[in-house]
Amino acid sequence: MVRVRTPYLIASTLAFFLLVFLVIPVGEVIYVAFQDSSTGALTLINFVDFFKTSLFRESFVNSFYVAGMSVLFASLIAMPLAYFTTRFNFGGSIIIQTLGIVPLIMPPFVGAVAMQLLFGSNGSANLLLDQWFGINIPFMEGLNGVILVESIHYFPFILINLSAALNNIDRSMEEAAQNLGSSGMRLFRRIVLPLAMPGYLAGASLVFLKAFDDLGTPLLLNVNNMLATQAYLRISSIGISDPMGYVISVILVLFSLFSLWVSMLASKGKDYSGGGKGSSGLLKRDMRGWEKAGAYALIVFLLILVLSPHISLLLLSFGTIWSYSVLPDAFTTAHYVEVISTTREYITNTLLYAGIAASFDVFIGIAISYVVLRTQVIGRRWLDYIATGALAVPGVVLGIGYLRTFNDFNVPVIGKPLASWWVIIVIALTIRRLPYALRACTAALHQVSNTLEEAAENLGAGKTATVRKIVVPLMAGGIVAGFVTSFATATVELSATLMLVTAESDAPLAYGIYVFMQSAAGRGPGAALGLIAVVVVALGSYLAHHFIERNKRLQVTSTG
Amino acid sequence: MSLVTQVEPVRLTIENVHISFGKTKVLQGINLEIEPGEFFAFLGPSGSGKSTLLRAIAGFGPVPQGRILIDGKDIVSLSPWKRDVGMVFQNYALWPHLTVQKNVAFGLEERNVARAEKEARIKEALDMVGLSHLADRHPSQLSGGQQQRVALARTIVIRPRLLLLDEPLSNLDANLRVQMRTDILKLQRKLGLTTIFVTHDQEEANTISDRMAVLDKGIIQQIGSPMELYDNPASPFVAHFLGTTNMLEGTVVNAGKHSLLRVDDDLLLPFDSDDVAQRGALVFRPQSIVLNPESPVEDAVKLRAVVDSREFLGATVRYTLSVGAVKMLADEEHRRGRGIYDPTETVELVIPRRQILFIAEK
Repeated sequence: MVRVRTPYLIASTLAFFLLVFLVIPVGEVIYVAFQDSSTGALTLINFVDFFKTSLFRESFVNSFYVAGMSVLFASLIAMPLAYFTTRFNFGGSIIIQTLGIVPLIMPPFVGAVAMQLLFGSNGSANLLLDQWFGINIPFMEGLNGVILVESIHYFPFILINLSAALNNIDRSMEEAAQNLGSSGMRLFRRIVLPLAMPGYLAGASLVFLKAFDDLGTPLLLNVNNMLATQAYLRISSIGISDPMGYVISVILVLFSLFSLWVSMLASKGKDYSGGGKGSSGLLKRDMRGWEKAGAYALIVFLLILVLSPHISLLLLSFGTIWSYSVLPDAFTTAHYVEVISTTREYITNTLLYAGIAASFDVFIGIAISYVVLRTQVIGRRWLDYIATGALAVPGVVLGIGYLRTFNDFNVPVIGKPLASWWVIIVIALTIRRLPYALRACTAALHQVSNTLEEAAENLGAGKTATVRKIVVPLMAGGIVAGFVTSFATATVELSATLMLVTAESDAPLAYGIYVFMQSAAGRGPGAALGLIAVVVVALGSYLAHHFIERNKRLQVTSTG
Repeated sequence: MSLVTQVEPVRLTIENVHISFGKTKVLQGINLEIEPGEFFAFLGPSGSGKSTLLRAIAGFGPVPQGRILIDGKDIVSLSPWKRDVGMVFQNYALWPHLTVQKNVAFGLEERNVARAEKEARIKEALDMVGLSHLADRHPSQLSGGQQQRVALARTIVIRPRLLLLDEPLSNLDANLRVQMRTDILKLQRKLGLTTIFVTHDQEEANTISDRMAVLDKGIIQQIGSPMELYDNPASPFVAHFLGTTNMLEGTVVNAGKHSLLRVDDDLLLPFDSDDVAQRGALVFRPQSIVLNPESPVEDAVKLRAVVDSREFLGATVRYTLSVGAVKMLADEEHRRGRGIYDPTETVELVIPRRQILFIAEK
């Protein structure tokens, strides 16, 4: 019975990998959090200690405050944009839909320092405000800075989900309300808003999650009284036996799980789409002259705000000295020359690590999606759940877990612990980005009709030949998209990397940016590295989009 | 070598096949013998198990209990790719990333057929379905009928022992359907392939098959030629499924010679049957009824009926009539200028006795 054994072999290999590099390290972190550090007995004392310490209480409140306010400001940016593009016939829609996702191609920490030069107390914006109105607004002071940076970077989650929800509303819903005598704001409040709510919630909970977990941004803005930064600082300064880092990790995981759960519930539980009758989306109307002017003014303002991290990063990377002035004194390419000539290994390491990780990701992604969708292996869904669960594990937590679990495991031949070998960085990237590749592969395999495989078997192809000749080629678009997404996002991953880099020569680009940005003199080269990363990610995202679209076309025409 | 001459037709035997999906029993004790070179149809409503049975012959779906034999050899434990049982899928299942040529080449490549022979056989198969000129197209560039032909070519090119067709015409429009079914029949006769055809459309099964099996609820209800089944349905289900019919249930009075069936208090109808059942139904087709005959009909049941309503169907006019409280359908052939009856009109309703079939209740 070869037919039965092979899937089990593949499934158990996958399960083993996930167990060793995801379940056990995270389990270890949770276990240690509940362990008395001297006796090893199970206890809640660490949590009691945590809440007794005023710094931790403050960090806890701050993390909540920052995540909550980020959701609020992200909503303020996203809601008008979503509303204008779905409600009106309006040329600006395309600009918004395109530029609206731009912030996602750069992780917030990359532009954080550059944003200080634009919005800090001595930054361009405040210099101008002082000159014109004699006022100074503390955009970037302490927690404000984190909130500003996070909301500017993550509002697209709300924009994308909310626009999709609004576009999916069956037009007859609104027409029925009008038919029964409702109109204007009342109709909006009673019909449109409730129908769009799941989409909004799905996006908002993702923003909350991202802002709550983020390590790089507060670190670079020198805001240390938050949970993720405290976890990192405790482990890196006191050591991996300090229980506080683990307690914070448990709290981070809990809230990540919670917001992911809310997000999934919101996007799955209520599908209000009209069943594909063709007429979905709100009733669109043309704008009057003054409305149009107002809308454009608002949109231009928001887009400038949204693109400010990129603009400031660009200025910083090409600027000579930029201090107490609206713009840099002069422009130069010296920073690029410097990073490419002296710290090339950051770039080559990144390409190597992200390349290997993304390859593993699609490989594992194909295997898991195939086992889940095409075999009868008992418990196969758990592979999917666990791999996707990696989304709920903040990078800091995974990093701490790896340090704790693999520090005593010496790699044969190399002769040093796995936790300080560069390969562990690649594994961390693989686990962190696996959900993206898995989702892409699963979607692609869903599109491949079962009968296409049966036809191949019917004509004499065994399971392996069928997968190789039919399934994988038909999934190609999704596989490439999954690879590129995993690759691009792995390029700029910082939080797990930060914990795991032991030698500068093994460090990837994101780590390099972090190191450069620590000193005033390093900002220029740091920004140059940042911009290189942005270009890599942007290119990757474009390619991913391209392949997904191409695949869609292929699939659509094949069913017709 | 040519496709036309190579096939030695096989016999397919299905012995006591049971299939369950979890707790749902989909097939319950199927026994069937299909003769070499026969064009056989599985006919039944959706959920009757006909597709499951076809897929089991190809090796898909749960492993069945029982035996499926090709020329006496059990194939149940063989993998699908080792069966040489060619199947044309309902949605054709053409691979969108391969051209027509490559789709057809696939099975030959899996069999490591030498290049020259491969090309010759692909050409021959595409010629047979009349698509040689489209060999370099992708499936998405073909019409539904052309896709169907590619699927057929892709299957026959491997010289299968059996040809299985899973509702192959259901995705085509009405005109094309008629064209395709004659083409498929011609091809089958030319190749002499033992062929099984699954359909839920009785007209399709009637026109194309030598014999058919009517399935319902996972059980074969009856096997026979289309006309045998139409004229002598063994059960009410078969009678209904093969076309509109009158079916009057009742209690048997005076079983044996000169039997009568009491349909209701006011209606007793005579029938001829050796069956001694207590209850049963009389079955006769609407076109068997004559209304107001111009010349007397011998050996017939004559009743007085009132027209309830009529439907004009083109070739016929269908009347719904009341005989007391009992409803009956009668079809009258329609010609230009022929008179029709109006609702509430009273007519003489005549059923020749040899048109009446008795089906005993089981």
